[in-house]
Amino acid sequence: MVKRRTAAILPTNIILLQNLVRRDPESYREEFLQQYAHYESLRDLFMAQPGSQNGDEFEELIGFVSAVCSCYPKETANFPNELKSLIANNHRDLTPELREKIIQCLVMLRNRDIITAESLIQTIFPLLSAYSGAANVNAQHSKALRHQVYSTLISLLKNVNTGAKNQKLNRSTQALLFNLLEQKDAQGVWATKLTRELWRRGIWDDSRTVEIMTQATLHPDSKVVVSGVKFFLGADKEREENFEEESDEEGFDLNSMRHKMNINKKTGKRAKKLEAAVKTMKKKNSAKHSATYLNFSAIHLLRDPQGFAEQVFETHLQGKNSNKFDLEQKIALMNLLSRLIGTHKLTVLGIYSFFLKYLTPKQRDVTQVMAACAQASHDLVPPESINVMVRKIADEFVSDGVAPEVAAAGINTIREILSRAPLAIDQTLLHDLTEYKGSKSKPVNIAAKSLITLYREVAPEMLHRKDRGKVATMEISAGERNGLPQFGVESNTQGIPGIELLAKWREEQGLAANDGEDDEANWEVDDEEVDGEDIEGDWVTVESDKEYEISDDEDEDKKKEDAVPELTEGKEAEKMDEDSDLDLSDDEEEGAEKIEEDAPAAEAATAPLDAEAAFRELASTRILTPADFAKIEELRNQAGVEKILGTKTQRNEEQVDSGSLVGPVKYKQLREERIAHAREGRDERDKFGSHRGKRDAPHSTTNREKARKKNFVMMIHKRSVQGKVKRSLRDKQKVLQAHITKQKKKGH
Amino acid sequence: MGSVRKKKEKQKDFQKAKLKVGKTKLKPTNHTDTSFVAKTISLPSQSIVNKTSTTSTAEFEADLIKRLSLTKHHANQTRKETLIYIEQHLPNEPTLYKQILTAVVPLIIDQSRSVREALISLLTAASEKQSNLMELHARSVILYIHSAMTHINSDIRNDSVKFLDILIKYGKDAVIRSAWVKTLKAYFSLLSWTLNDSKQSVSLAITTSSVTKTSSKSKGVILDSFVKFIKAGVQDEQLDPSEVNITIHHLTGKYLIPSTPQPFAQLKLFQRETLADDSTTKNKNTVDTTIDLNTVSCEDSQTRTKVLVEFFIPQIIKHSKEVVKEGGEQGKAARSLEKLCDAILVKVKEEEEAARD
Repeated sequence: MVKRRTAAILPTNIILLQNLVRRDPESYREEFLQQYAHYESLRDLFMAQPGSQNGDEFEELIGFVSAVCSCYPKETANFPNELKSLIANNHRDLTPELREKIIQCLVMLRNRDIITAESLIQTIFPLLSAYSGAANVNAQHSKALRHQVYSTLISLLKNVNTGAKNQKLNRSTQALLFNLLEQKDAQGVWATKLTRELWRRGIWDDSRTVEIMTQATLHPDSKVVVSGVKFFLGADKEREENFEEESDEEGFDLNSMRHKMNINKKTGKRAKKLEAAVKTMKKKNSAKHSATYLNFSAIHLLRDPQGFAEQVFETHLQGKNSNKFDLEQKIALMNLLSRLIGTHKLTVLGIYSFFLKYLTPKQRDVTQVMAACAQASHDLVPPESINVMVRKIADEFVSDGVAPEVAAAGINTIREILSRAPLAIDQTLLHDLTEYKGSKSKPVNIAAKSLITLYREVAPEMLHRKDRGKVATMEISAGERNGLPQFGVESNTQGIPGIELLAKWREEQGLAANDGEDDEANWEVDDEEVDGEDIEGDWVTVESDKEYEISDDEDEDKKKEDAVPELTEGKEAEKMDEDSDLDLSDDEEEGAEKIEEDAPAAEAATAPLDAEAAFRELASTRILTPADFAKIEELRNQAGVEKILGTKTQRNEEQVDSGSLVGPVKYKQLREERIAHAREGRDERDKFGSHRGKRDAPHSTTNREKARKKNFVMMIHKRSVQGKVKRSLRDKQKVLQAHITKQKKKGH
Repeated sequence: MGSVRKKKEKQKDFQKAKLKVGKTKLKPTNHTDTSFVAKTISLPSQSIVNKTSTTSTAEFEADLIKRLSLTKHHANQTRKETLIYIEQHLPNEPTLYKQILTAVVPLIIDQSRSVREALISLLTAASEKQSNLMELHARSVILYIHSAMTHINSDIRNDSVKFLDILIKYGKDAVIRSAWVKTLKAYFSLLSWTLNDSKQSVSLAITTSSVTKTSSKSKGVILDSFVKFIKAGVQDEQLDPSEVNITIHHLTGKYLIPSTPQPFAQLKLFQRETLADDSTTKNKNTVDTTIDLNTVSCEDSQTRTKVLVEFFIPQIIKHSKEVVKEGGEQGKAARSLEKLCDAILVKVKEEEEAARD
């Protein structure tokens, strides 16, 4: 007993003392001072002979002092600095455990706000580079250390940037990374690693971060370069995946939890659970909305894309510089460069002739090179430069002597290139290539046909007459096509593409300019497909009093029939339509007048399909709702405007998937594969048959089930049954009504 | 006929020997047998004959050095026995002592009492044998003693003064020069006395230290050693005038080669120490007036006395009065401490007056 009581006040070990001090720092001041003096003496010992054996005790004491440091700020004012200088100057002498402990303690001090985050980063960051590379002696410990420092840095920056971003700290850390990258050795990998991780978590997302990676990409060391390139190629995808995962996590249903709280026994534990759940939910929601997270891709945030692309090409790919990379790395570089060129429409003319060397069927990973070729072409490059590439591909890949996959890959690549730069081919070559539409090999056949389809849209004049197709031929004969596309002439779309269709459609339906604008339903954006029903639903409600004999599904069909002919047939029929519409809505008070005013304008708009006029008219009178945009999309699909406008020019930012270039190659399946394929469908389905009497989840009979099975004679005299007969008419009605509404609700 | 025989012989050369199950493979014709038979095996490293009895000094030294690693053995019995063995076999020549001391000194903070006792006797014996030993190694030894004086384990703390006593006895000069202030402070924390009278340090430690039974006895020991230490520090180290029978100029000493080891150690030219930042040293005065003493070098007795009188004596007197009231052995020791302090104060005053005159 005595002993125990003594132990309670007289600390015999450090952990006990730590506990006591934290509870009552005032009373245990002397004990603390004694231990602090002990720490000092041990520190002196350590300085006198580093690597002496009492490391454990020293470690323990450091932990103790840093834990209670906040209780005695004056006495321990110098302690953080001592730790810092110890780890900064003597880290080679320290045992691995002690090193780890000191870093831990520094993090602890920073968490208690005794040292600043900047100073912590400045202390431990040099360790990262000091313990990597060939310089380190004991490999396994240094790995652990690097891991510790790295994860510390990441979590620190994450903590600092939750809520609002701490730009000052970010800046200073980024400056450290810049400095690291200015050295010519492989240490720069740490800068890229750190940046990439922070980018993946959405902590760093500004152009300064991207600037670090551009510097890494232009670094002389190939390791650093590769990691920089990989960042630009893959980091954004990583980030998206990361965020998707996070959003998946919040799977629990708050409503059901609340419901359970109402029904189940109320205990403090459950209440706390619910509270915690509500808290996390709120936190997640707020984090999602409030964070100043920008999801611009890294390539878009480049400050000087042209300069960057040129430098990458010159320093890494041109001449003998490329010798330090192996093929995969070179391909990654080509991929990056081509995406830069495609996205920003840059001009790096050297790259097209550079590609020529790699464009042979025997080249390893040639499809990836070809994908890069396609990405690198766009309509602002002089067609001559791309033409060289196209010709080379045609010569090397597309001939009768090669395997069908090779030919298909060649034609597909050419198609991808031409879809971006349609002028880069001459007519004879195009004719040669389209001849392959008669090929017996399926992939080649498909590839050639897709090339024809492309040129039907872009420049049907270049095709054989028989290949042009009906629409294009009719347009040419009607003189609507204004010749071949020309280099340097941009076809800009102004306003909202397809708005004239909406204007026309609205007039057909007899809607006033402002109708539906105030309707709440129109402003709701559905995650799923905006189906036609919704939209139809609200115009029915707007003018429900009129004798519209068209039902919903009828209307769908009619539109499909109508839309295309309307475009070509001209205005006669439409005028008729409008007139009839006007007749119908004559007796409306306000809507009619407006439509009458609009009518001449609408006529003008519909006649030449003038997009600008329609835009001016509609946009000035009305605010477009999400429902309107959905309608526009639908109408455009029907009208096939997509093809006419040639929106393919927007494809520049798309990546070309190298796998798809070869086309569909079907090999005969092995027996195992066939069996597996057949089994796939069978595995998860039940035996056929009725589900009657079977339960989804095993459980005992419920009271309801028991009640149903109960003998009728036993039940008939119960009040609950007898009472039903004796109810008043009113009560019966009530119950019936309630039953009906319930059933209706069930149906939905 | 001869031709047939010859043919057979010739063919024989090219016939392949057949392998048979259970038979060893035939040796090739050019095989050389290297096996041999010996009648005795000699293993010199495992000889039963005791090496120490054969005693060439080099072998003995090697053995001793081998044993030094046993000072880190996990069993305290082994550590103790090693110490005792070393004590019994202390070498005559001074070359080995450095190695011995570096191996042995960390045991000052050993957990086991018996090991510490063995170490005390070893150190005493060693410094008897080599008179300069403690003087030379005082710097490293005092570090361990400081660490022991502040150790959380009270037994280790109490034993620490015994080591310090040895140091004072055999190498006081080095100690009082290099670690005057620190050791004084260590004494304070050992006695759980406070250095400044701030209100926050109304310590539980004073009351708690009286809980342990041994404290009164050990406190007496501590106070005794404290007295010794102060005496050693304040004493003039000037040579007795009776020994010197030629008159020399009183400044001559300053231009001679210093007689003490490491005379310029306080400059810390070859030492690594943690540097205090300027920002942190600024507010030191508000916290603890004694901390800036770390930078003062206490090479001569005047400074030492001054430091003692200015910062420590008032507290010493105050606390020792309290201890005197408790009586017993510690009271006796405290009384002597008090007397010593008074004597120092008187002496200082006299000197001041003399200087004024």
